[in-house]
Amino acid sequence: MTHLLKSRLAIGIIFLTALIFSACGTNQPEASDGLPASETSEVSETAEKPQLAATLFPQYDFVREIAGDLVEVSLLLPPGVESHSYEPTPKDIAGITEADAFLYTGEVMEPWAAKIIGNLGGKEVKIVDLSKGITLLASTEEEDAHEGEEEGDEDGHEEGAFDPHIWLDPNNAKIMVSTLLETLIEIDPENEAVFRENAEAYLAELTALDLAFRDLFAKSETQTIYYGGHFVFGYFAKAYGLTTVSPYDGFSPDAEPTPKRIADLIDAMDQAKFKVIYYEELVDPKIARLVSQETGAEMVLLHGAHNLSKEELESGTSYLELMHQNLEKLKLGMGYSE
Amino acid sequence: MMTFIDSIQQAVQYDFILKALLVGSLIAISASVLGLFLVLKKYSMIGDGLAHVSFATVAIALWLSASPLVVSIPIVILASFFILKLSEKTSMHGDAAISLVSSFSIAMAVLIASMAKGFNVDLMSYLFGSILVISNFDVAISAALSLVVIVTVMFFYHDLFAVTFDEEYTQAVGMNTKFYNYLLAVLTSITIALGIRIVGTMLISSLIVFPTVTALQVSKGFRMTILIATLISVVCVVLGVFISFAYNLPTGAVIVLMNAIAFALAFLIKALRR
Amino acid sequence: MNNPDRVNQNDAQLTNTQQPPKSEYLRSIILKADNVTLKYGRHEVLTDASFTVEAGDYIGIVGPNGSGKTSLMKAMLGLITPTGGQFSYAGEIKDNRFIGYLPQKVISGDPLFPAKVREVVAMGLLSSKRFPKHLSQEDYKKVDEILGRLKIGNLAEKKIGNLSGGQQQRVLLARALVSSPRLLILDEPTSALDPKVRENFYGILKELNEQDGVTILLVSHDIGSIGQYTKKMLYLDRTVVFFGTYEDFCHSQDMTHYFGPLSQHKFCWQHDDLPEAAAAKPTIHFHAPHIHVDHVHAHGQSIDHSHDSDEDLPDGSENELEKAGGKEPTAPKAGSSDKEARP
Repeated sequence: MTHLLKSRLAIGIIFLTALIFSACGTNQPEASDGLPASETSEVSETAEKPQLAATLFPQYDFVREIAGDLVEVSLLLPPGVESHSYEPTPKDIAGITEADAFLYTGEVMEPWAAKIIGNLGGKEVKIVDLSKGITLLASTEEEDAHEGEEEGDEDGHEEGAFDPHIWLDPNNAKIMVSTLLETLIEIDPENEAVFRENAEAYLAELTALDLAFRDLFAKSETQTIYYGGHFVFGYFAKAYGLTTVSPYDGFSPDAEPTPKRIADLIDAMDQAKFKVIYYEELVDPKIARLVSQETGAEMVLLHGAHNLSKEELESGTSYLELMHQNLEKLKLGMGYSE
Repeated sequence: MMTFIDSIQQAVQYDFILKALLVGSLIAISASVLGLFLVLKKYSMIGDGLAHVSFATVAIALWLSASPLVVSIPIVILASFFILKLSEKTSMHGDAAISLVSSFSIAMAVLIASMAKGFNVDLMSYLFGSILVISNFDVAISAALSLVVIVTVMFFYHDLFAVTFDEEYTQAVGMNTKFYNYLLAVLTSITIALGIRIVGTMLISSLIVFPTVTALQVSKGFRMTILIATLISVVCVVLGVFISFAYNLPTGAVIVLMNAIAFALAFLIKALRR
Repeated sequence: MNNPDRVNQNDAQLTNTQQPPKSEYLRSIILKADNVTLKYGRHEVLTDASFTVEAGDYIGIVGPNGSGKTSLMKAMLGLITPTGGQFSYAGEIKDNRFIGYLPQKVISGDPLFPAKVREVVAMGLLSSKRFPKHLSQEDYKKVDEILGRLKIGNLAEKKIGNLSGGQQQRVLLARALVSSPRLLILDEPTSALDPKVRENFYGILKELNEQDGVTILLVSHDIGSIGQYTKKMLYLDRTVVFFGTYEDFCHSQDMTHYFGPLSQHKFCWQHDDLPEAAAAKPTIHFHAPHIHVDHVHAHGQSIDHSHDSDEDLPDGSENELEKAGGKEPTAPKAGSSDKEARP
């Protein structure tokens, strides 16, 4: 077993134990919406708000948008934690079984979800696979994505099969929102009208976002994104007809890029007209930095919206906000002109 | 073969390759110079052990929003002292002491991570360097490190040798045994703390142990062993970088592979000699 | 050296920190133990040991297993701290310089250890050097010299792990000797050696003692044969049972009582060549005649008397004991009855 994997296993195990004993407030309510506890919660003990457990930031955010404070939604991932290495603790799992709905991104992103689902038999938890209705992309490389230090599967990915980052295409996001809407209506039929209204508004925003991107790329000089991180914008790229260049073969952020691939990236950038190298959120952008040093390119963040940093979470940022930021950043690098 | 040479020529055009070669070699030298003392004193697991300590220190640093390197080095040094003390005072051997400190550190790191309720940057990525992504600052540091390690070991060579060979004897004849042990601990800690950040854990642990063990197969004298180990280490780093470039493989792993091959060769030589 | 008054003067001057003047007779005491008590945890391995080692002595330290011999050596070297009492050292061996030490274990380190014999022996020169330590050509010459003297010059370039037990022992002896020590402490040095090698070994020690004036403390469990090599004996059994020349030992009736006449005879069979003076009237107290009787202390006496329970001391001893300032000679101490069980 590699050292890295060993460390992570040990961490996982101890993490479980540590969290069981952690007396401080748990992750779940901590990470939940920054919205004020609403008055409706004092209405009655019996009419509790529906509880939803979201595995990843996008769905967490969508629920907030659609349902506001009519429901309580929690984000399983602690802030700053890289989503692909996450393993749920017993407390998390307990939280899921108490919830009314469990919102996961799909088997590919969270293979551990299947285990939990198996254990939920008998409980009244709605299991919502948000990849429903979305055409999954096969990973672009045929090669094994596991290079470098990993032997075993990184927790959260079935590599080599499909790209799990469905939410980065606004059109997919719309589908996810629709699925969520259905779920919310099922759980809380009384508020159907409110949900529908919010969802409509939100879908409109997503559509606007989509158009903004189309506009951007139509008016850009280049259709290529140079990315220093593990590549998450597969669906995004497909939607807008972009090419991507990244030194990572697969999606695991820990797979080590080979020197050849880095060299290729540098060469490609040297030839490109617009010198911007993008990097991903939460991970120390070493490759991007290196490329930046070699080519003089500017480093710009392109947020993959898996999870937020502590700061971001506290500032109450949203999927839309992140995507709009990405939009602006892309304008910078793609040579956009009105 | 020609294509291999071509790819070498190609590789050296890139700054990051040159840095990998330079820094890799410098760290390899530091690690090999210390490696013999550590292996013979049965502290071979120290690389792994202190890596876990580093993990905890980075968690602390991120929690306090401080620079990981600045927090890391002093704490790693203290941890190595603690390991020393443990094996002195109790009858614990080096490996058990290391294991103790190591697993404790992981636990601390995890606790801190959960208490801090998340960070702004992923902990893991901060911890594990890669020989390919070396900054200029890293270059400067590793040069300074190697200098310090080499000069110190040179100056204290005979004493360090004596303490490693027969600690009780050195005490009996009135040498300052404690000082030399702690000196070794400090040098090792700094090398590992920096090594992890610069070239990553897998590499630094193997750089400490592998070339030394290989050299032990074929050499007789103490000084000669260190020299051979250093040579093997640097050669493996250089070959590793070029081969990984040429064949599109991850560099760290290939370097370790080169070391394994070197060991096999050395073992063969030893067997043939008999 | 046999003048009690002079010795007294020496004692007064001798401390841990003083450097005695460099005339021969004032350097005659090289090491002194005063009521040294050693404990491992709660287990007391050595109680109230006192004796004086003079320059040029060749002392065999003997006693049954567990009697505190190795512990005493370690305490002398500062590896263990006495829980009671203290050692005093002559200036030149202060801080363990110019002490050669051959520890008990046979192989130092494992066979994999890449140390050439030369490197190992050169280690012996380190303690007398100052920073930055450097081994010069001269130093290596010394190494080669001592290797030659011990007849292992041919092994200089060999790896220590590849040598036989006897060869390793000689290498470690070379290490102990290379710095021309004034005091040599050897802990069971010949237990792993075959007879021929052993003979050779003792021959070298004799040379060192007689020609070079090196003081030698030799720990051995082989009390039978040790007498043929050493000049004095320190018999330990968790305390000092006897310290003095072999002559004294052999003529001591207390020792006859302690060990039984057969054993005593066995221990004494070697010494044919004693000078006339030492063959004079035997005395009973536990320190060699040239030591001032102030140092005969109560505990030693009580051991003596435990064997004689109700008997009077043989003549001569009372005079000595009176000189000691009227210490009560006759009452046996309660705690020493265990000595009666000795064969």
